[in-house]
Amino acid sequence: MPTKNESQALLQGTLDLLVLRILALGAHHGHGIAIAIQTRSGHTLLVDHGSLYPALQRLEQRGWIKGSWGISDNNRRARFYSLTALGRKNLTIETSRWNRLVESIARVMEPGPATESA
Amino acid sequence: MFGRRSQRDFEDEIRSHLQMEVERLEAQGMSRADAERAARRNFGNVPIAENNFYHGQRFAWLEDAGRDMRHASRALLRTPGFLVTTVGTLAVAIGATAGMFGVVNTVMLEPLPFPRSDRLVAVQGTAPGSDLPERFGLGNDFYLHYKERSKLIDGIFVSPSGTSTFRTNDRVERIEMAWPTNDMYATLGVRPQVGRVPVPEDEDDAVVISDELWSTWFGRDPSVIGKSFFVSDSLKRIIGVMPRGFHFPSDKTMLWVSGEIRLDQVRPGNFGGPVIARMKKGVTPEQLAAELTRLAKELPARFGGPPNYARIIEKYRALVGPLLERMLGPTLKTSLWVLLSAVTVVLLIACANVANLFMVRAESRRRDITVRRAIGASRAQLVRFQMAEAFVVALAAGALAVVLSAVTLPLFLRAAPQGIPRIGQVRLDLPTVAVTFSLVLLVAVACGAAPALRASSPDLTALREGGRGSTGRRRWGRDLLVASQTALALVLIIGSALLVESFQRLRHVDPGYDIKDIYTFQFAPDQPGLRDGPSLGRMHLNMMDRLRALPGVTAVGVVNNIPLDEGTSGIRVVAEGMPAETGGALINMNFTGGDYFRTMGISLLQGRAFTNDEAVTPNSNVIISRSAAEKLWPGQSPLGRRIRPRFGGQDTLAFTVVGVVADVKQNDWREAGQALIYFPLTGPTATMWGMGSPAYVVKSPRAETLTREVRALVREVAPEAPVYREYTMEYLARRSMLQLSFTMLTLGVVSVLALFLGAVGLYGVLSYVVAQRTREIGVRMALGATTSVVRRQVASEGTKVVLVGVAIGVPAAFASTRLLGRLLYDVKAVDPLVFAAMSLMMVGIGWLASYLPARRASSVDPIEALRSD
Repeated sequence: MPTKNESQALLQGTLDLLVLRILALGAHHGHGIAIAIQTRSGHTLLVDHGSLYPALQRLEQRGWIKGSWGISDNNRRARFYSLTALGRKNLTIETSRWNRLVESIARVMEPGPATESA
Repeated sequence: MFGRRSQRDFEDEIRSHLQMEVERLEAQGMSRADAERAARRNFGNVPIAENNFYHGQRFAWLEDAGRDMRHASRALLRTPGFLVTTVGTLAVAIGATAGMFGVVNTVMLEPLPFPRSDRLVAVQGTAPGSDLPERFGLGNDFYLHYKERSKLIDGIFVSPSGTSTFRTNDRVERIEMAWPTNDMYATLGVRPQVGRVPVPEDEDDAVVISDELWSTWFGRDPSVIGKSFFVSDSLKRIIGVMPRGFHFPSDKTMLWVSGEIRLDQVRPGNFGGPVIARMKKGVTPEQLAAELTRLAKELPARFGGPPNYARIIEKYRALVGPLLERMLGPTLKTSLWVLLSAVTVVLLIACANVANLFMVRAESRRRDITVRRAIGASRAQLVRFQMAEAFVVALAAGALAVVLSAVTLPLFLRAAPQGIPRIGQVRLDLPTVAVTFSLVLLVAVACGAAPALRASSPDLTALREGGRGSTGRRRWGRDLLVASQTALALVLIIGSALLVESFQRLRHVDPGYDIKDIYTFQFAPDQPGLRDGPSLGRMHLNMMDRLRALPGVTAVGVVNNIPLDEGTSGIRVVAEGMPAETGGALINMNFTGGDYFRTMGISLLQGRAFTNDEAVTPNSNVIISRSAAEKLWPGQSPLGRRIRPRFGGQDTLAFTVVGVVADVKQNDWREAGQALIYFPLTGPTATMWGMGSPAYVVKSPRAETLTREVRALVREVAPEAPVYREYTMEYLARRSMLQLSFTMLTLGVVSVLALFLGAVGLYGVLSYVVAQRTREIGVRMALGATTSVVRRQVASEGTKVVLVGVAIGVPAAFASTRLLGRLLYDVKAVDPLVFAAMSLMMVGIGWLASYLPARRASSVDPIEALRSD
């Protein structure tokens, strides 16, 4: 299990995207979202629990996710978040934007001389 | 859900999160204590998260504002003196301003209720160098010619108006009516709600009545259309009812008689008709005036007329101005603007006062604010809190102001002079309320801004100073406020002193007649036997005998136009020895009988008064006033001389002067004594004229209580006659000065208010300064300063500020009192005595306002003072 130092700090603004992605798999409570991000990233991404909740508040106010109280697996009251239709649409947009960003960064980082542009 | 989440809901979520994390860590083998610590560490600062959540909420600012307001209200309630002073001051000032604005808006700014009323203009004439008044109404000749030839107008009409008899089967009264030409309806753009407008075939036998008359006299019975009633002089048929709210030319006009002006009714040289026209689209009053002036030059060629007619036309220029302006008249406009400016000044003073009080309050809280800032209150929070206090005060003041003006506006309107157009429609209406509240907000920002900004400055030195040191620092801001308050109050007080002075002088003017113990009334008999001069004269002599028999009555007379009520009309008179082609002098005329001159106390200077015989026997004697004699035969005795008046443009027989009396002020005490010719009740021939309803004047110490007895007498002599215009001369005198006295009183009240507020402001500032300097004063006294030295020093500081205010106020008053213009009588707008007296008074009041805090300062106990703080 990596320590906090080794794990990657989240790039600004990507937390929202990650939250949306996790919720696309099904409703989750805040703690579950944090754990899911950690697990899916192979324990490289560590979510700061304190910044998760402002992100959830922000997304909920935009109407991308919806929160409601429910009972968790271990019988605890928790607030569950799920994607709204608006959130689903934005997830698609944000995902393709993210992919474009990753591709361009990857191209920049490719070894070899830079290609001259006309 | 787009609703908001509560703070508690969020806290629950955090708690649940932490518990899950603890369970997870425990499952991995941590001890419970370690797990709890790790969970908290992982989460970060919980209160900060909660705070962030709170501020992330959409409506947080609203909740903040609500909380600030609650805090502010509580803080204000803890200082009731401050609350009452600020709210009261602002409420009075805002109420007065909103009320005055309501009056000005309704009376002067709202357009007349006619379509495209901005194109309606009044047409008058001026002929500099002639003997006509500076502005005069036009004759039928002008009306007809303009109607036919002007290319810039869409309609024109003449609308004489007055009071006359209206009689149904069971009711008779004198009501206000008008005799407009039939084109009034099309020109104004109005139609009856029931019935039709008059047409030429109606001649002058049809009337249109007002909605009010229809309601009060006929109970809105539609069958009244087509019925005939006695109007003025004959039976006329009602053909229509105007819509509710149609008032023209006065608010009280109830009936419009039909009529056209025919060419054979034109008397060139007869002026005085009120002419109103509608300009075509895009025409300016200047263009119309130029056209009408040019067209008028064709008049002598078309209508002929006496020789001086052509000379007047040569000098004539048309004056075209907005109808609304004409209806208001210049004096009323001046009065209302003066009053509106005065209450605005009071509002300024009140704002300055309140701002000042707020600054003092913020100042005394410096320490508190600095501490709060030091322990983390944000600048925005502190500013908001200060603004919230101002806002609460302004809101309370606004609400109170609405209540205040709802109560005082009716009182104000009742005290207002009669005949102000549309004054009856003044209400505490929506625009007024809107203005009130925008004023409130403006005031809130103005009063809150200064202390709020200061509170936000990151100045921690106040802590070190311990709140005692700030002697004289930042005083200049407050001093400036007090100085400008003083200046504004001085301007108002000088203005109202000038009006008081005018009123005093006007009251001591000798009008040429008495006003004490004189009762006057009119009645309008309508009997078959009363047709000519002698029969009417006999009836009047009989009536006068009966009046004289009443207990306490010492003299009785009649006159056609009594002073201060109705104006007289002018005629041209050719005097013996005057070349006929001059056209004669323009002199006003009146008719009189009985003991008119003795009753009124008008001095007989030469010759004799009319005898009773001259009231019933045809004769051609006249009595003229002193300045008429001076005008006709300068420096010579007029007795036995002859004059030829031109009635209706025709020369008549010669009349012989048998007496000369003193001049009287006929319309207004401001004017010079009028040149008047008094004719007897019966003319040279029995049918020449008959005075149907002259004004009676009755001298009696019981003048105030004669009404009932007089009415009973009239019922005996003429049961069919309405009795009206029942006044005492004292009432008429009061009424004629009402415009001035009303303005004077209102301005007086307003300026005293301003003075009071100014003094309160000065007192407040000095009290504060003294309180701040208790320690310093204590030290000085410990070092041997005497009471009187301390007192003098504090008082002189206040007086210095007031002197600066006076130095600003005097030139400001100098520049602004000329606005009073027409309201002043026999006093210059820059009367040095008034200026000096008022400035001295201002300094005196300033000294008084400074003396009380000074006394407090001098009573400081040095030991106590050094110990304080």
